[in-house]
Amino acid sequence: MGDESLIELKDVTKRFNKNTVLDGISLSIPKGKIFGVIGRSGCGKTTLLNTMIGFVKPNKGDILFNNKNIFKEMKDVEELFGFASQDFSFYEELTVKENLEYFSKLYGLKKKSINNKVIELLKLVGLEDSRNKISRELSSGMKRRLDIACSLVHEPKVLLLDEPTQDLDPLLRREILKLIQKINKDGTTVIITTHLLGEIDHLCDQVAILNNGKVAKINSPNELVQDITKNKMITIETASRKYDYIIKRLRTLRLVDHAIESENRLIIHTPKPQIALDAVIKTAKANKDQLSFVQLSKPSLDDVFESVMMESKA
Amino acid sequence: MKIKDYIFAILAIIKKNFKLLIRSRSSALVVILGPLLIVLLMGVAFNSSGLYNINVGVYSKAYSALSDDLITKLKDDRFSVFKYEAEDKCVNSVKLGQSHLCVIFPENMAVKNDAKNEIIFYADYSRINLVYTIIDSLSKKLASKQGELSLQLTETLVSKINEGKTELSGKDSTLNAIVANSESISGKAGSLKDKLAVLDLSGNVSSMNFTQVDNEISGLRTTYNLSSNSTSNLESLIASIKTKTTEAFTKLTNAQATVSETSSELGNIKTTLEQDKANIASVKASVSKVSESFSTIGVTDPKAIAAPFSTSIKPLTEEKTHLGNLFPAMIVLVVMLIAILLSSTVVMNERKAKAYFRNFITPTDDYMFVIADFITNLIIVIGQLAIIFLIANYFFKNALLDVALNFSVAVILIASVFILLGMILGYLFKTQETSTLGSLFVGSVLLFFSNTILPLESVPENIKNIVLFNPFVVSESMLRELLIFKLDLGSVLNYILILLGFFVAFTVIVIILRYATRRKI
Repeated sequence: MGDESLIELKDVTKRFNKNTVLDGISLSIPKGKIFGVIGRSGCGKTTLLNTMIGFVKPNKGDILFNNKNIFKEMKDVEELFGFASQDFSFYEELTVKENLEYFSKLYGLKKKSINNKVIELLKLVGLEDSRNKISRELSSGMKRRLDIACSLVHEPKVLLLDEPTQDLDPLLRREILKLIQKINKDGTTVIITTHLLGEIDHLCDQVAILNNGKVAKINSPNELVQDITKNKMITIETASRKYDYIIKRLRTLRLVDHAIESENRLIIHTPKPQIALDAVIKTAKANKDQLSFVQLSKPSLDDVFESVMMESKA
Repeated sequence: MKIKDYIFAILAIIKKNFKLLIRSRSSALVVILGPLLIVLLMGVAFNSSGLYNINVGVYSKAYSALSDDLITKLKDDRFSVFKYEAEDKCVNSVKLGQSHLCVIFPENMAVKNDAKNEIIFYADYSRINLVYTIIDSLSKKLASKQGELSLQLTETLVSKINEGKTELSGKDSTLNAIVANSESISGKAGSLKDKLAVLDLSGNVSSMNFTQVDNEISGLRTTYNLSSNSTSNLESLIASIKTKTTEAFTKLTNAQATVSETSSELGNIKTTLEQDKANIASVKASVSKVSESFSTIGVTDPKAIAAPFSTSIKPLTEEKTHLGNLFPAMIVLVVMLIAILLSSTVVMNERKAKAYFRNFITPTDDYMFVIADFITNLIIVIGQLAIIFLIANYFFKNALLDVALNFSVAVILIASVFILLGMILGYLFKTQETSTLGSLFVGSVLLFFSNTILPLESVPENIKNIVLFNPFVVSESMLRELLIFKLDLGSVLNYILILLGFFVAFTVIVIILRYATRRKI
């Protein structure tokens, strides 16, 4: 990787009662990059972010920011970290402008600079025309943008975004992603969590896949995909929709890395797609079954994620 | 952050709180306007004195002039009296709320020796705040008639005593005269007896020596040789004298016996007179004693005997309406309700706001939010109290202006304590609904265990010792002393110290709870 590490988690474990949410997490977040944390709902993504901003104290392990323990330098964290939580975190009864002014004051911005900062942020998130609107009346996308703007009032070095595109339509989602890229371009390190993998495929410089409180894989999206693109993906559907005999045959022939049944279809990850496809056709024919759907494709980050999940399950 | 920045941040939070409160219509209406409306209504309703439209049911098996007189006394512009046909109907009228009190008069009520004359009141004690007032009011009316009767009877008694005293005092000289007469008679009888005692009536015929006379006559005849005839006349005369003397001696003997008898009788009479004298002296002593006893009755005025003392309750204040007496309790009640409900609502609004989380991750310290929330609540409560003060001052004809400074200091302290209590509730409960219910519950408990509903003297000593530290009780006592008795702040220092104790304790609890809620986001 070679990038300068800004935040480092060392064997971070967090338990809520008997439930271990984070289980020995160790990862390094490079400075000035967009770092994605993906995982199923409830896998500990939000808790991970909360520990990074010092809001939740881990039971074990250290979190370092610029090689300093954040729990000993909380003031730095408060002043240098921005956080946009999964739920919007602003006052719905205040206007857009009032929210930005209020949080600017809480972050100790000088009175003179607040007005300029608010104008700058409104421009950045595209809410200039809605500045005097009561926040409750904003659309979901606008609320999300306001929330991000609130996280940026103090010009944080690190911006943590917890599921920023949740509940947004594809168009709004794209807008937010563009905004995140814009923020990152200004030098802010962005840490983003999501379970919608497609959207961060091209956004993140690095992605950590979180499963059962552990980091299952961590790499750039391309490298993660490439790990699996040594395999191709064959998706088939048969008339019988029974695939046990095909999987058995392919395993005998050592032509499958792993196979998943999903929505009545069989997804086969194989390093030898042509031979595997021939074997599938022959086996189906021999078993008096018919193929109703066949697709040969390269796996996406979604597939990587699914693959990792399956591996963990196995 | 510098102090200037802290103040800047606190002002920002306060400004935000106000905006949130004003923009939340329900909060504005309930929390800000509600208490003012309550105060206005209370002011109008209780700015009066006495009781109104009290219905009194009465029953007697047989009404008498006295009972009718008493019933007439009960009637006035505030009391309506209804006669019932039966006792149970009268009692039921109280149960059904038709009458506030049922009064049972004894049959043929009259002032007689054997008359029991017990008037029975049936009262609905569940109407605890009314029953004592009505009974007191009725008792006063009946007591006035009772006083009249008592005076009449006493007057009769006193006049009879005076008559007796006069009669006895006239007989004293008579008794003295009797005693004197008795003494005189007794003396005379003694004197007579003495005189009779020295009276010697003894004598004997033989002592007259008539034989010698006879011998002398014989000697003379011999000497002179006289014949018997010559001396016969003499001898016959002497014989007659002898006879007469014998008769006289017989009479003397009889007289002696009579004198002895009379002397004895006189002795008896004297003894009897001595006894009578002693008896009369005893009677005189008794009469004197009775008369003296009558004289020692210092109070002879029937009014003074019937009512040896009169009570006059002089109010320490010049208030003539319920509002004046209620004012301290009303102020504390309003402050308590506004402060607890408002501050718990502000805290709960803050906690439930989506921005609560972001507030925690800013470099603004938690206690600054506590201070800002506290100041927000205090400004609103003080604002409302200022309006209440102006309204009250109008009702009390500017009487409150004299105590405005002490009132302000006391009210700010009271409001601060209740605001912090409300903030504790806001942090303790999880939802707005439970927080409101909790606030009302706490407010009710504080109100119930105060002098406002029941006198604290009616609760057991050990509970009372705890209740005396009830912030409501402390606040009300302090305000009463400041407003009604117009004492200075130094005189209520003990109350101030207790409230300051609450202030410090509640502040610590609020800050702890604020930190604790961080974990629950």
